[in-house]
Amino acid sequence: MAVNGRGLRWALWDGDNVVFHAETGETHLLSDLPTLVLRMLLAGPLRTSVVSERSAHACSVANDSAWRQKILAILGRLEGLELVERRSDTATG
Amino acid sequence: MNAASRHPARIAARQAPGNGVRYRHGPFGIQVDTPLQELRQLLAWCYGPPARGDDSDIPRFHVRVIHGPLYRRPLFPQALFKADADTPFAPFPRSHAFPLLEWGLNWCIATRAHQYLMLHAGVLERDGHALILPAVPGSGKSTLTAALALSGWRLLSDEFGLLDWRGGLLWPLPRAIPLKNRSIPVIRAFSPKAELGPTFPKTRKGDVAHLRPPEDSRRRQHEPARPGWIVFPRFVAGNPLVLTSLRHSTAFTRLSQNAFNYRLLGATGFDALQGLTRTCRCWSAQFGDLDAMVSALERLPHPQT
Amino acid sequence: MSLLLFTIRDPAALSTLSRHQWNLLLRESRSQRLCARLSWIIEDRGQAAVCPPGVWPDLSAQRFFSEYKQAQIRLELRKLQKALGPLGIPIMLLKGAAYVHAGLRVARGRDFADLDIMLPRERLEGAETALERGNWICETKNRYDQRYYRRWTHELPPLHHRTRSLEVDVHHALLPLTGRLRPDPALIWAAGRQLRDAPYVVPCPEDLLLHAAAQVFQDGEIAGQLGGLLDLHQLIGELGTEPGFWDRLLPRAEALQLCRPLYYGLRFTRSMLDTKIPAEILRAAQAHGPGALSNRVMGLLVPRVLEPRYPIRRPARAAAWMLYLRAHWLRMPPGLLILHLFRKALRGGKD
Repeated sequence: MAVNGRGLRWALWDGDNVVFHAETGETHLLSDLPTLVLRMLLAGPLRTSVVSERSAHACSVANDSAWRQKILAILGRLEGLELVERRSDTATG
Repeated sequence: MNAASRHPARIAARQAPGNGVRYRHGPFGIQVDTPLQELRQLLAWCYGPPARGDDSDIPRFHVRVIHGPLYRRPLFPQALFKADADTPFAPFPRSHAFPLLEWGLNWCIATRAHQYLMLHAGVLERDGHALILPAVPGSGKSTLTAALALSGWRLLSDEFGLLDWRGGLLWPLPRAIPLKNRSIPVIRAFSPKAELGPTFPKTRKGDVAHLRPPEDSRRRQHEPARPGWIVFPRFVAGNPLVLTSLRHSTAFTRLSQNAFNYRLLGATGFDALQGLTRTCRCWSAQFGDLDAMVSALERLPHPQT
Repeated sequence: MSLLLFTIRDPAALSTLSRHQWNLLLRESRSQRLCARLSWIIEDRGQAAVCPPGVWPDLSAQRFFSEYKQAQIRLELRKLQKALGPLGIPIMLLKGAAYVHAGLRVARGRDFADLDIMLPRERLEGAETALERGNWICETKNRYDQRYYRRWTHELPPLHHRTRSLEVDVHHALLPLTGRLRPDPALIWAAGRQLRDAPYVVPCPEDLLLHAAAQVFQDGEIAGQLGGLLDLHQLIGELGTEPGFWDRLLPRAEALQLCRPLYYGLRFTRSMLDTKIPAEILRAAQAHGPGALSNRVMGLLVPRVLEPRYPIRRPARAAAWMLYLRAHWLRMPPGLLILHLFRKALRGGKD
């Protein structure tokens, strides 16, 4: 997974984060976990398994199958908003 | 109509640079060319005598309100609004030329004044701080704006909150406040100071009468104000007043949907709105009684400076 | 002369305008939808400071429309590339999209009505299927219109994506198949340039200019095309500095059968906008002008419909109508023309 395009702008308020996506011209309201995931991907493309592992670590929870499902759902929603996109080259991570 | 409009005297009148009347609405100079005497009279009642053609600056909006088709004149005379090459609306009955012009100017501003983030909101000022009342259907925004303008607040604007995205200040645009239907008697009853123009029955927004902008607001129409409070009003008949503090993110989201040109401005709009929301305290207010709401707004905590 | 033309010809003369003339300049620019482009012309010449109070913020604020449209175009292209790239179908950008991606100054402040791309004709069917699968839909429901596009024109009926509003025009040739001039798309593909930072092809500089000229003087209705003429003016200014551009231009125009529109383009940018064109090129292009009478008539009609005139009047009606007929005449054999206009008339002039 990779962040789609550059030019994200953030307005961060406790627990609610507003992000402007220059590529689509859309503004989105995100809660903390999707924000964390998105910001992880900003550093570079990652495999979904790595996203799940690192986010679990950041939130001090077990990286079990329930967590992985949750992260996949978040990635799916971010993909629907066109904030992230699937990469076929499965870059490093 | 052709023979008449081609008459040399009429062409000369149309071309003369001094033809038409000029007014200043906050940052915008406007020129209105119109043969309709009643319209000029109403403009003078509402905004005072027109500015002198040559010493005022270049009009930002140059509009015309002209006669509709000749064949309709004897029975159903019409008026037509034109802004340069554009004709944004179908003709109105001629007796509705004033609301037609006001809506036409709104159209001009909304489609053009992108040096501002244009909130769809009433804005008032006290002690240098601006109160922003964003409009949503049923908010009672115009009624509330009118009531506050009659209660010691300075009217900045009713329809457009003009936020200068460079400096973060709100600029005045003190024009007539169009009151609709039930609001007309409500404002008459609210204050004996209310100066209302004629009622225009059955416009596309129902019956409309205009509250003349207070003298003070016109005199100080070049003084911007610093954003202080954002209150999302909602009128619910018979309900008690409920004032709820609003999360910044919620206020941000609602305002982004409310502004006329938020999407168009892109990143500039985002930055401006973020700055605005950050500096303001945000509330939502449900009210059923105008007097109670006005006095509640007077008691809002002073914004941090 | 109109103040807008006056300003485009010599932006430095802005400081000599009176208030009244400024007012007329703004009204002309507004009615031609050229405010944002005027603002760039003013800025490039360092004239922003001579604008009267309030004028500069107003003019430069009109750039948002163009920037918004450019962002939409970039997004749409990325999506198209995602749909067509895997099939190995190359995308050539035309008109505004090409100007934007090639980083040309002519794109600044420009109005983009839609997105124009060209695909190789032999890949068209595969592309149509891929786009349909990718949720692009055809705007034309009317069967006559559908048939008209497919049989007679150089493009598919306009498409747009289900969730986005931008109209996409997919061409397979530059000009209509029924027209008198038929530049061979294969030549344009062969000379196209791959962009360095995006997976698209743009026409070579000469082709960009020739296509722009054909837009105004071959395929369009001319009236209200001052923006198109300004495109030519600015393209000439920018592309003309490429080494060898002027040497290649006329031979290229001959190869693509676009000498006549090029002649008009050079003639009218020169006469109306004072565009810098090498004298020997102008002379050589004259050989491709029409007969003396036709030349006279165009010389009378074109400035009449292109020049903004005040107090507000539409572009001269009769002249515009004659040029409209001419545009159709150029596109279609006469029998078809009558049929087409008749259908348009039957549908209440709904375009």
